[in-house]
Order: sequence, then C-alpha cells, then structure tokens
Amino acid sequence: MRTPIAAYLILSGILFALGTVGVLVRRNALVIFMSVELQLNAVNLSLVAFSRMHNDLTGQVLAFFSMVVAAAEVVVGLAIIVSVFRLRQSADVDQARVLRG
Amino acid sequence: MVELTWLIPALPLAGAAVILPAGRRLGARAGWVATALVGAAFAASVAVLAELLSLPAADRATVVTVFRWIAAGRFAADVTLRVDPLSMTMALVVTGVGALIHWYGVGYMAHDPRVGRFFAFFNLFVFFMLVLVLANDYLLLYLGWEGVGLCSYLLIGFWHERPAAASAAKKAFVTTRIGDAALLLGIVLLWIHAGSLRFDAVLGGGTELSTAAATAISLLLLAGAVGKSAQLPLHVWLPDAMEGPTPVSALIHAATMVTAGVYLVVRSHPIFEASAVALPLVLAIGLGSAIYAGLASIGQFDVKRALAYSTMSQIGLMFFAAGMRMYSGAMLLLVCHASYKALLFLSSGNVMHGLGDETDLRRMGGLRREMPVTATWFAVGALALAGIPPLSGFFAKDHIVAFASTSGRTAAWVLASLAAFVSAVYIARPLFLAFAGERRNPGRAHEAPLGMQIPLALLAAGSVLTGAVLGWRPEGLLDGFLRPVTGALEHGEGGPSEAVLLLVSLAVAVGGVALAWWAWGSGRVEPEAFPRRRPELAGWLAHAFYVDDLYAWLVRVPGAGLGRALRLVDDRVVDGAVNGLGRDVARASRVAPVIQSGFVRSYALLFLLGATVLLLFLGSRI
Amino acid sequence: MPWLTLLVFLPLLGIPPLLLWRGATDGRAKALTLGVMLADLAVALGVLIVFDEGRAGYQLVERVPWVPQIGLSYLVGVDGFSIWLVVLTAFMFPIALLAEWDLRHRVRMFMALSLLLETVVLGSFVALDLLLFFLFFEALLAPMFLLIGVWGSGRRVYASVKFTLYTMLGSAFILVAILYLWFQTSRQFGEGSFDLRQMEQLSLGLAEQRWLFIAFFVGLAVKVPIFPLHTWLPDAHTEAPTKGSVVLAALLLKAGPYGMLRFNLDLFPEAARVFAEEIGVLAVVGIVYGAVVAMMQTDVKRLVAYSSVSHMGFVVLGIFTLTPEGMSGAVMQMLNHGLSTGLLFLAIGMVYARTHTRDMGELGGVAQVTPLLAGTFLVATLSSIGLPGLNNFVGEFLVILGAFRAHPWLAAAAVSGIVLGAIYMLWAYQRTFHGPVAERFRGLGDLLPRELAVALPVVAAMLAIGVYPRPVLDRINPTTEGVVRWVRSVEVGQAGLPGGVRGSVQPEYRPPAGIRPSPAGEGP
Repeated sequence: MRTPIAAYLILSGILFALGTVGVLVRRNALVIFMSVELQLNAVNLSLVAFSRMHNDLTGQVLAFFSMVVAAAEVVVGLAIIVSVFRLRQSADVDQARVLRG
Repeated sequence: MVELTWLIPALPLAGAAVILPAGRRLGARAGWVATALVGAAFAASVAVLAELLSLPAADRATVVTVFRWIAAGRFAADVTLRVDPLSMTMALVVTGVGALIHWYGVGYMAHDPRVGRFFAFFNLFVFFMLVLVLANDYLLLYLGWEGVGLCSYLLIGFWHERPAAASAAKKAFVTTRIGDAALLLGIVLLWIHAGSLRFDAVLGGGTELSTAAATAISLLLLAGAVGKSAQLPLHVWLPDAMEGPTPVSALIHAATMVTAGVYLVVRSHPIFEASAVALPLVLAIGLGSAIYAGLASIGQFDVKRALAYSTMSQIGLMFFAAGMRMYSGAMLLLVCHASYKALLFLSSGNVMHGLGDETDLRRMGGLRREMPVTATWFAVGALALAGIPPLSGFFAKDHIVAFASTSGRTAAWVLASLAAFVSAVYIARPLFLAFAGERRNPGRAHEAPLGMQIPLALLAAGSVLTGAVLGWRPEGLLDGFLRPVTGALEHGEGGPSEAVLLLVSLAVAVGGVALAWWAWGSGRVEPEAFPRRRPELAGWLAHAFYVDDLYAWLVRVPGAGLGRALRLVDDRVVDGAVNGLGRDVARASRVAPVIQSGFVRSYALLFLLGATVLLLFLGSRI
Repeated sequence: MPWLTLLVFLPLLGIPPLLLWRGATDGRAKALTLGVMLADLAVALGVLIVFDEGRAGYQLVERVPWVPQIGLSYLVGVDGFSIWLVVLTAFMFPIALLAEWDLRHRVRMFMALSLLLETVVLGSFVALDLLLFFLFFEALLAPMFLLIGVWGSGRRVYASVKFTLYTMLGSAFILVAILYLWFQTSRQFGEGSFDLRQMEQLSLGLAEQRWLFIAFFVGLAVKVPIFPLHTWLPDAHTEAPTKGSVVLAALLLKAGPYGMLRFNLDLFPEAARVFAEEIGVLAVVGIVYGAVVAMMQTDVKRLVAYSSVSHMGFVVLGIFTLTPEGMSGAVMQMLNHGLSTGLLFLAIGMVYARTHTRDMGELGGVAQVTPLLAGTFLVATLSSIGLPGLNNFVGEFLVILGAFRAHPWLAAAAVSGIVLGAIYMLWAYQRTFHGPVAERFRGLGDLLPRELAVALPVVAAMLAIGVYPRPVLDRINPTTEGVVRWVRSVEVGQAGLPGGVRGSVQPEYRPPAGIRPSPAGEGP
C-alpha cells in the first residue's frame, strides 16, 4: 500500500513551518542556519513526493540540484559565520547590524 | 622669380624658427641673423618688383598657389600669394623699413638678456606682416592679421615683469580683437554673398554684391581696419602699446602693422565703392581721428605717447584719403610715413638710450648739444611730418589736402587743413622741447653709437626723398605704378586754384612749426606753463578727452558687474537648483532606514510577509 | 585583421600583470602602462592608415553576435566622425600618463584604472550597437568616479558624486529611448536589434522622433555639457587630478557631441531639423555665458573648465547648423578642443606641481623663472582663443561659416565668444605668468625633459593641424556630407532606404567655390 501523497505534504509543511519559526525567533546564527536547512529539506521532500506521484524524474533531479546548492551555501555561510564569530566573539545575528541604512 | 615669392615671407619665418630655440646660444648674434634674413627678404622683394616692372602694366598681377588650406562642404581656401603693385609696395615697405629697424635693434637691444627672443618675435612679426600684405585671399590675410596682433602682444609685453607692459599688451590684443571679430564676420559674409574669398575672384570687377551686402561687408571690414589702425573709436590701445621696446614701437606701431587697416581699405576698395555709406564713413573716421589724435598729442609729455597719437593722426589722414577714393594718395602717405615715423621713433630711442630710458619731455631740453646727430635725425623726421617742402611729408599731405578741396568738399578741406596745421604743431613740439633751449634736468647724456646711426641715416634719406621721387605730383610714380589696382585718380571739379592751395599748405606747415617754436622752442614760455594756467583744457588733451577712462569705467563697473552677477547666478541658481535637489533627495531618503534596521530576523519576517502577500495575490487570480 | 578589437582591448591586457605581478614596483607599473598605451597608439595609427579617407559610411566593421536572443551584438566600426576621436584618445592617454609620472599614492591601482578607462573610452567611440555603446558609455563613470574621488583634491568626493549622478541621470533618458527603439525594430522588422544600421531604417512618426530626440539630446547634453546642465563640470575639473582633467576635457566631453552626431542626426533626422534652431540658441547662450563666468574665476583650473563650456557651445552650434561646413567644423573642433584644453590642463598641472596653488591672486611672474612653461601655456592659450595658424581656428571658422549660412544672428552672437575668449584667457595668462615674480617662486625650475615630452607632441599637433588641416578634414568631410544629405533629404515618416542610405551616399565635392558669386537664395 502506498502512503497517500497528502501525508508527505503535511510532513513537508510541518517541517517548513518549524524551519520558518526557527529562522524568525532564534538569534544564534548557527541555529538559524540549521532552520534554513530544515526548510530546504522540507521542500525537497515535497519535490520527491510529487515526482513519485507523477512518475517523472524531473522532481528528483531538482531535489539533487537543491541539495548541491545547499551544500555550497553551507560552505560559504559557515565561513561567514565563523569570521563574524571571530570578529565579535558571538554568533548573535542581532549584534551584526552595522550595515543598517 | 615670381614663383619664388613664397621666399619673401619664408625667410623671416626661418629666422624666427632658428632664433627661438637657439636664442640663448646665439646671444647678441641673433640680431644679425634676424637682420640679414629680413634684408634678404627685401632683396627678394626687389627682385620680384624688377620682374613685375618688366611686364606691361595690365599684366602686373600674378597669383602663386602654395597649397590648399581648408576645405569643407562648399568652402575652400588656399594659401595663395598675390604679386601685384599694391602688395609689392607694402612688401617693400615692410622688408625695407623692417630691415633697417632690425639693424637698429641690434645695438638698442644688445644688453637685454632676452635679446634672442626679441629678434625671434621680431622676425615672426615680419613674416606675419608679409603674409598679410602678400595674401591673395581674405582668410590668409586674416591669418597674417591675427599673427601680427600676436607679435604685437608678445613685443608690447616683452618686458612682462612690468605690470604696465603686461596690461598694455593684453589691452592691445583685446581691443584689436573686437575689430578682428568684426573682420572675421565680414569675411564670412563675403563668402556667403560672393562664393569666394580670393581677391582675384571677389575684387576683379565682376562682383555682383547687392548694395546692402556690400554695405554690411564693408562696414565689418572697416571695423577690423579701425581696430588694427587705432582709429576712433578703437584707438585706446595704441598709446599704451608704447610700453614695448622702442624698435617695436617704430616697426609695429608706426611703420607697418597699424597701417594694415589702410591697406585693407585700399585693397578692398571695390567692395567699399559698391556701398553708398562705407567710404563717407571711412572719410569721417579718418578726419575725426586725425584731428582728435593731433590735439591729444599736443597734451602728452611722454615723447613716445606723443608720437603714438601722431601716428594715429597720420593714419587718420590716410583713411581720409582712402575715403575720398584717393587710394594712391593714401598709399603715398603710408610709404612716406613709414620712413619718417620710424625715423622719429628710433631717434627718440636714441634719446632714451642716451638718457637712461627717460621719456618725459619735461626732463629733456637742450639735447642738441650732447646729441647733435640724433637731433638732426629727429628734426628731419619732424619737418618731414610737418609738411615742410621738399621733404616727403609735404608732397604726401599736400596732395591729400588739395584733393579734398575739389568737388564741393570745402568743409572737409578746411578740416583737413586744420589737421595738417595741428600735425605741424604736435610734431614740432617734442622737437623743440627735447632739443632746443637748455637742459631742464641736468645729468649725463651721450650720443648713440655708430651702429645705431647708420640705419637712421638711411631712414632720413628716405624721409627726404620718397615724397619727391614717388609723388612729385598726385599722378606721380607711385600712382602710375598702383593704377592697375586702384584705378585712375578721379579729380573733382572746382575748388581753389593750385597756387592758393600751395600757399595755404605752406602757410599751414610753417605756421604750425612757428607756433610750436613760439610756445616751446623760444624759451619764452615754460613747458608746464600751459597746464598750470589752463588745467582743465590740458587735462582734456593729456587724457585724450577721457575716452580711455570712459571705456575703463564701462569695463570696470557695468561689465564686471554683469560678470559677477552671472557668476553668482551660476553658483546659486543653476548649481543651487542642483544642490537643492540633491539635498531634498537626501532628506527623503532618511525615511528608508526605518525599515532597514539591520536586524536579520526582521528582514526575514518582512520577506515572509512579502512572499505570503504575493502568494495570496497570485492565488486570488487563479 | 580585427583592428578595432585590438585597439579597444589592448589596454585591458595590461591590467592583470599590474594587479597580479608581485614584482610590479611603482616604477615598473608606470613603465608597463606607458608601454601598453604607446602600443595602443601604434594600433590607432594603423587604423588611421587603413582608414579609407574618401569613403563615407562605416569602415573596419566587425560584428560578432553576443546575445542573439535580444539582438545584441559586438558591433564596432569607424567613420569620419570617430576616426579622429579614436586617434586623439590613443594620443592623449600616454601623454596624460606622463604628466602624472610623479604619482606616489596607490600607483598600481591608478595605472589599472587608466588602462580600463582607455578601453572604455575607445569602446564608446567605435561601438555601432546602441546597447554596446550604452554599456561603454556608462562604464566610463566607474573609473572616472574613482580617479576623481581617490586622487582628486579638495572637495573631491562632492565633485565625483556630482559628476556621476549628473551623468547617470542623463543616461537614464538614453536607455529608455534605446529600449523604445529596440521594440520598434522588433515590431517593424520582426526581430529586435540594437544595430545602429538597422535602426536607421526604422520609420518613425514625427511625434515619436521628437520625444526620442529629446531623450537622447538631454542625456548627451549633460556630457557636453550644454548650459544649464554644466555645473558638474567646473567641480569635476577643478578637483580631478591632472590626468583626470585631461581625459575629462579631451575625451569624455566629446562623447556628448559625438553621440549627437551619431544618434540624434542619424536616427531622427526630421526632429533634428525641427530642433536645430532652438539648440543653436542654447549653444550660443552657452558660448557667451561660459565665457562671462570664466572671466570672473580666480582658480585658473576652474576658469579653463568654464572655457570648455564656451568652446563646446561652438561644437554643438556647428553640429546643428546642419551644413557640411559647420558640421565638419564641429568635428574638427572636437579634436581641437581636446588638444588645446588638454594642453592647458597639462600646463596648469605643471604650474601647480611647482607652486602648489592655482589661485591667480597668488600666482604671477612665473614666466620669468619658467619661460618654457609659460611658452607652453601661451601656445595653448592662443590655440584656445582661435588664433589662425593654430588648430582651433580652422574648426571655429568653419563653425561660424556654417552657422552664418544657417542662422546669421546666431553666428554674429557666437563671434562675441571670440572676443570674450581673448579677454579671459589672456587675463588668466597675465595673472599667472606676467608681472613681478614673488620671492617664493624665484627658485622654481623650468620644464623637465619629461614635461617637454608631454608638451611638445601636443604643440606639434596643434601647429600641424593649424597650418595644414587637410589630412584631418579630408577624412571628416565625406561623412559629414553624407549625414547632411541624409538629414536634409528624409521626409517625415519615410522608411529608410534599403542598403543604408548613409553608406551609399557618395561624397561629392563641388569645385572649389568661387569665381562666380552664388545665385541669390541658395543656401539653407
């Protein structure tokens, strides 16, 4: 028996909402970062689910793409976080507001 | 030889090109190089003249094309030289008198540290002057015209460390530039109406200019001539130009450059004749300038300024003659004047040389004892100018005044006689003030060396002879030679008999000199008695009726005021609008930072809100 | 041989070694840059030799599709309008560089920016694709902004921001007009294109043309600059380093009139005819206004900047006489102004390097200690006031001639600029060089050999053009005649003729005017 598509989408939605809340309420840059990853993977999940449903590989390929991009993003993002941490001894994003208008 | 006409201007140009970079190494020898090259140009001119004379009178006009200069659209101008009686007369005056003044300058400038530069500029001047008179094209003439203006600027300001010299140089250039701008417009207008600027095309009889066009063109050309020749109302630069070294005053501001205006009028006479008002205006300007400058000259105590006003007055007489269509008479006076005025300037240069650069007539007197030779030269020049027979000025001036008496121009004749009388007074005055009587300012004075006297001797010979040789009668040698260009002299009707004219002329000249003798030579009257007794009148004369002061006021008060106002407008209004706009934009942009708080999470929230709104919007459209 | 590509991109080759090569000391960086620029000058002379002087229309055209989807292509070529600007650019860059030889502050950066600037300037003079032109035209701003902002003096930041904002605002108009034209090409030819030669053949209504003309004109007028859009110029000139001023005056100001010749006349001939007189009035106002305001300046560099406003008025006046004489004169004048004002700024730089002031109240008498420098300045001054025998006269005279044919009163008013020019330039010369010399200036040295190497080539070029301008005019004339014919011939709404009208118009000289007076009524 196949799990109905709705289940995947509900799970994906929950994960995405968790990620969104995490991005909005947490102040630690690393945690925000993990939340973003959660959002990305939520979307990946729905992509794969739709791909299964339509029997079309495009969705899965797209998921791979987004994973690769996410990996690259991690590299850059972590580097930035590390250098911000070195500079300010903290990963609190609210303190990094020098570039306000 | 005619094909080699380009050599005539090329020789002095080569001189300038050699001396300018090598001046310091050449030192005083630069003067000899410069003199030799101008002398060679004179020789070349004589050779061309000889060939010209061997031709029948009707064929005495050759055009030598050197290269094409400017071409665009329908416009084309070539560098072409014209060999005809008029241009050769001018070229001979320029190179002949020029060579003598160069020669004199060798001695006069020997001790100046910048002697090399002086002769480079001097040669450059001769080059431009020759281009001016040899050009066959108004545009090339304009090149020479501006070129001599440049050299005049450089040489008036030769001692540029003196503020007066620097200012005088600038004033001369700018004042003549007003005339030059008009001349340029006239040239453009001529091209538009005649389709060419070549003398042989425009002036060759077949011009079909409408009267209006001819009037406009000739008035613009006249404005150019008036500026260059220091006639009313653009004359104010000439007296100040005396700040230059004396050879400069002699060559540029007496013998050659300032007479270029006369040359221009004579050369362009077909255009002037096609207009009804141009020639009468030339006549009036000439006569007015002659009398005005003559009176002003009487008021001067600086010998060079007195001579400068006398130059202006003499050129006024040339204009007067040209205004009566007596072109050969104007040219005869031009030739004679070149020689005796150069002589006068150079002998006053001798005086300055001997007195340590003294130019104030009040501090001279009795110099005939210490400087007998120079006194002789000055006397020859002064008497020639005054019109004492048989010196050259007598013939030149007498013909013009006599010509004025015919055709019902009685008023002009009377005024011209008055001008002649005034000129006798004003030129005898410095002669007596400087050389007669006793020294008013004791001090050492010494005669100039031989090297500076020989050129003066030659000029003195010229001042004695040119009139009698070239113009014994109005239809003399020069008139016959110029006839292919100027046309036959048209004598008017009526007027007093020749004997009366001759007597009047003699009386005017002798009377003028006698009056000057009584006032300044006999020792009965002090030189400063007149200014003391009639200060206002003397002031009017000394300041040349305050015309210069009026101009200075106009430039200083309304002119500079306008400039300041516009500058303020530029800073406050035009630029102020821009800066104000910038300020407003900057102020408006202070609203934006409220959103740009710098908190990453608030950005993320905004982002989320935006995405939601967009989604809802797109969803509602389905 | 891809002459133009080589010409444009050769300077770029010098940048990587400048930035990456560890051994590039300041001296080596200067030498390298100079070498690259001289090589580029050689290429430019090659272009001049290859250029066929008798032909109107574009030559040495190279075309490579770049973004074919939107019809953007790398399309370059030269004609009589641009050939001398190209040569002038390649000529002035090494000279301006030599003038800055003493630079110590961030030398490698300066050199790299200079090379970048050269590429960009050359590119905007040869681009025939409107978007490509726009890219180059806008790219001018970045290096110029930095040159003024980093190496300038006094209020340099204010000046550079003002300069940039002004020009970008103008460019916005141009961009809109270019996009509109692109949509028109895609509508009329089925395929969008930025190719100037295709846009020429658009058929546009008069109202459309007017709006587009105005958009282009305003954008370009800022660059010229035309009164009252000129106030960025004095600030930019005054605060820029010598090299910046020279490039600004000699080259960047030319982008404006060049664009007008290239686009306004070519694309909107009827609108050009409609607006010609109004623009002429504006130009003459600029001539007189610039001259009067120049007269009142005390900073000699600012004075020369205002004189540029006046001189560029002559250029614009010449263009919109729509006569071959006036237009050739204007093109000539662009070259001439580059030389004479360039030399003026170079000479001012030399004065400043010695005296550390540009205030004419403090200067004076310098001619006694530095006669060669004074001579250089004087030659530039004389050229600038249009003395015949020097370069400026030829262009100025032709402009006045053309203006007189088109609008006599405008010509008469423009001539007053000649008198005013003599006043303010000679006065500036007097206040700087004449009079007694101040004690602290007594020890100044005259020109160094390097400075002579800066001044002499420019002086030689000015003399050569003044005495024998035919090589220059012969290359300009066919193009102006073609454009004048094109502007005069096109009727409102008429589609362009196939095959590029401008290119096919054969240059045809009338026999040298003269001998017979022209029949009355002929002329514009």
